[in-house]
Amino acid sequence: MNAAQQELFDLAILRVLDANRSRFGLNAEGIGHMLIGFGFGSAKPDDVVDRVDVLARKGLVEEVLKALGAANRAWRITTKGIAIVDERG
Amino acid sequence: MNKKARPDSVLKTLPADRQGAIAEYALGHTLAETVKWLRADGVHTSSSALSLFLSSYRLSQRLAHNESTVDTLLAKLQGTRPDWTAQQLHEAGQAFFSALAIDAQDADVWTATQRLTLDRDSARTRAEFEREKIDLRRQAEARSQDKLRFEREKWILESCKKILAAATDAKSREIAELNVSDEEKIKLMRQTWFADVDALEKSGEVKLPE
Repeated sequence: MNAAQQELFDLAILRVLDANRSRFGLNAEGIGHMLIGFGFGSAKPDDVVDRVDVLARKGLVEEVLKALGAANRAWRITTKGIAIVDERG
Repeated sequence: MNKKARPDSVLKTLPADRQGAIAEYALGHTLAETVKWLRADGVHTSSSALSLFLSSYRLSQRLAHNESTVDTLLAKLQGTRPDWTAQQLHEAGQAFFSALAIDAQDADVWTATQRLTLDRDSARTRAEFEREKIDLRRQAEARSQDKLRFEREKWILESCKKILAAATDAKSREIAELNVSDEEKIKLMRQTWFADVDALEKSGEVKLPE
């Protein structure tokens, strides 16, 4: 995946998380499946985690309920992430 | 979650019921048709923007439905586990929500797989239909051959019977002793002993082998 594709992949992850208006977060497996609706094939959970961690470091997403452990990690989009999605249309 | 769409995100800024109406309309129409329909109503957008909007809208609807399901589950759980704290319930809710997100997607994958299976089955059915047609044609041909074989056997049997009868018959002896060519004798013998076969052949009941 080149830099441009990586950027689109990250944006697709943000769009998936942006669609989640519930009070719960989405896990990597769920995000990976839901990417299908945003121009990507189903992604492996590990690939999603790699990128979500990058997005979290940028403050675009945040992890919820860390106490649940590594196997049950889940994320939701931040206000900064929403701004990026809105900016990109 | 506090969300605010940019003003230029045309579709996202429309009232919720209008967004729902667009998603509903798009179910039975192409993107181009929906864009045209929106334009007639004063909403200008592109097919790609509409496509993104629809993906996002439908996913958000599904996730909202999942959240509602989790709420129902949590209410029941709270009834059986009154000692659980709000944090524990929320953690359980998160686990349910994650499971539902995967389940809903699995259901979609399953549906897509089913569709593929159906398509494949349809293709298989067409192939089987063609194969069946060929088999039926072969069976009809075989039946026709059997009938022909049966008719030949019948004809030989009838012929043998007549030859046997002719050998001991005075009329046959009389024809055999006539002072005419063999060809003429055969013709007379045929007229005498095979008149019924000729009649049968004419009627179409029996087809004599050539």
